Amino acid sequence: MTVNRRYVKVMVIFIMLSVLTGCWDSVEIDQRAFIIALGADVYEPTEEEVTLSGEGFNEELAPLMRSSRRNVESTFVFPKHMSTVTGESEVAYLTMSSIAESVYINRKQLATRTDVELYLGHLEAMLLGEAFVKDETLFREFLDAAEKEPLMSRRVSLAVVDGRAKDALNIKAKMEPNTGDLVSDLLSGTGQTDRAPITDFGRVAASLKENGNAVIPRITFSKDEIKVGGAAVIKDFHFVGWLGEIESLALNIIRNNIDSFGLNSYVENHLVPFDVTDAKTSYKLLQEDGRFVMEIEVMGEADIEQVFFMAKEDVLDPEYVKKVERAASGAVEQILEHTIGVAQGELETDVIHFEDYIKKFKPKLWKEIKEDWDTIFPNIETKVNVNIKIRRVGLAR
Amino acid sequence: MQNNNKISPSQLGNIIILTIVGIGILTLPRNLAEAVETNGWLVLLIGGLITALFVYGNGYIVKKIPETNIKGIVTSTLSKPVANVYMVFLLIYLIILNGFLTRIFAEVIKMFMLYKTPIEVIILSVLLVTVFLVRKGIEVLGRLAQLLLPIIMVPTLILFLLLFQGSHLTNLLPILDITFMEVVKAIPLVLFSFLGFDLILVFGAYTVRPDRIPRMAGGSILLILLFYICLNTGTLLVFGSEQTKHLIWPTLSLFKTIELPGLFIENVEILVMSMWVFTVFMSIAPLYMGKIVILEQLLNSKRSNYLALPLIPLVYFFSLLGDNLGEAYAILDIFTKYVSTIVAFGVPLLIFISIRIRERFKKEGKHDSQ
Repeated sequence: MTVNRRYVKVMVIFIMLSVLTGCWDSVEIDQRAFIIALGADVYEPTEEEVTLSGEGFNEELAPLMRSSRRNVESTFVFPKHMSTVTGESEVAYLTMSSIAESVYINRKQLATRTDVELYLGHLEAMLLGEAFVKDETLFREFLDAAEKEPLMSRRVSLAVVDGRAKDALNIKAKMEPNTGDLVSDLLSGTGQTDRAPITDFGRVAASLKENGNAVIPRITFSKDEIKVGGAAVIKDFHFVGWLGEIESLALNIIRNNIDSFGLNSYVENHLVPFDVTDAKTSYKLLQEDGRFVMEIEVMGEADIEQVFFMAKEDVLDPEYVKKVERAASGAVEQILEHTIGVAQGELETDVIHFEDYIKKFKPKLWKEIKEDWDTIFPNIETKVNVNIKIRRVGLAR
Repeated sequence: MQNNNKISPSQLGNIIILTIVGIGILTLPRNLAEAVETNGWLVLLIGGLITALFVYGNGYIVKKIPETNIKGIVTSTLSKPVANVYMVFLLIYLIILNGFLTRIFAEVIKMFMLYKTPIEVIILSVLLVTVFLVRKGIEVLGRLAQLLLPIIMVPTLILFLLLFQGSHLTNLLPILDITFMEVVKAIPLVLFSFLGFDLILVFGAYTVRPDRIPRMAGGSILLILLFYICLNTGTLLVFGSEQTKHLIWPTLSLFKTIELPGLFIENVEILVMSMWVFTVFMSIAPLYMGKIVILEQLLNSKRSNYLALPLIPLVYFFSLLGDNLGEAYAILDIFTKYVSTIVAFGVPLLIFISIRIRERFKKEGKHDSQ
């Protein structure tokens, strides 16, 4: 008897431990909404709303709720099981927005309108509206909140929308009904483009901590399409301007973020597009009587993609291939020099990460020039030297 | 029943490794980045070798005075009153360390997994499981450590390899851009990240073949050193020193960035968290066991099972010290600076010196008689 009773006791404890563990926090999976994409915009009240907002407003709570600062309008995209008339359930993608002082309060407010728990653990993309990034306070608040959130991965994609994030998330894209998924696939994964900075939230945050500068991929959208290309440039947490698609490509080459890319060159009146593989960039900093000269060298292999049907030129002729190599190198040099010019001139922002290079490879020099870096950077002379070797020429001559 | 109070030297090594790693793992990369930027590996190497030497010395003490419990060791070298005072200090030290570890464990669990569960419940559950483990003697602990070490190590090594996909080798630069004084100032950080090795003295009496303990103990420290260097380098590779400084628990954030591309589970967070629970549990349990052993010797009691449960309220109390995480860490800082310097480094050093002096006298005595 005693053995039996003991056995029963142990079994009861065992079953209780294994079955009831975590019950405190249990949430049924269909009761949880997995937010896939999150958009943040500055809320711009219409005139009507401005006049209305005085009514029914609690004066005592006023300091908590409102000040001179602007409000955030957050948009959440999440899938939800909808029951249909037949009783079968189907998944719908919901896009809901809310207006409050911060994204966190937005989420709490949204709970008044949703019957599920909003869960950030599977967030894939964060989209910031242009006006939102331009507001330094809101932008920095947002970044800190995102970094403090324990559930979110640091590999979440981050992008700046040319326009409002809410509008971008609200479109019906023909590629994929789930806009959040589409955006995150465009920003990372196999469909990733080389015409926008290759980065994610964690890397943007790290870059901003390093020196307050960062480039964030840009998103543009139409009625039924979303496109990733170009970049927003941040300097000292301020939005200072956009980089175009080719400029972003050049930036990726300079910063050694990509191995392969395609570009056009002109050889003897023919357009010759080439496909570069294995591009490698290296730097060298020289000091010539007080001036800094940065030598940037790009090595790469390339294939000729197209010349001209029945052209006189022969892709098997080594002389001609040499010409293409020169033209291809020239084309790459041109976009790199242009981009460096934009960074040094128009933007005056070290998006190229010269600073990073000097810090790591010339730490002593960096300690000397650290204070004056902002004035030194625009005046650094650069020498771009691209060396592209054509390896393959296709199937026809 | 058979005797459950003997472990092998390798089991002792396993216990020591798991205990130390569990204590030092979470904040080490941040502290190192704050102190010496990218030169953590150098400080780790120097500090680790010093610790290894010191722990070898601890093992040497056990080897020289074998089959004697820690009270006996201190009594025979530094007199009985000192032994009693030291034992009380050691007990308090272990309770506070244990409490703090439990607190951090519970905070992390609450933050990442059980958001609504009260922290008190988490703390009590882990302490109850610990008591369940340590009630049946040190052998059980040794066997579990032996079993869990490979289970923890192998997946962790695989995870380390996966880290390289998001890493930048240049993040380790500049190398050696550091002054001598900065290194010296940072070394205590490393020494304190090896806290927990003092259990060698406590468990030494229960280990068979004491002659093998010094090498085993020193070797364990070297293994941990290797792991710490990997961990610190991995953190820098992924985050860079600036970002590492700003993360409260860089190690957890680090493993959270790992993704297995294309696999059914892209996020390995579950795996990481379970590894971490194993590690910290195996760190809490030996410390708890250590307290029971010490209490048993202080009370001159033969059986020790009944001492396990009454210790829970004490550890529980210390685990809730500090109203918030910042305060808890501040208290721990003061504690490690003063108490553990005396308990973990000071007294063992005195014992070691005393043994050496006695040996010298013995030799001289022999010499005279000849």
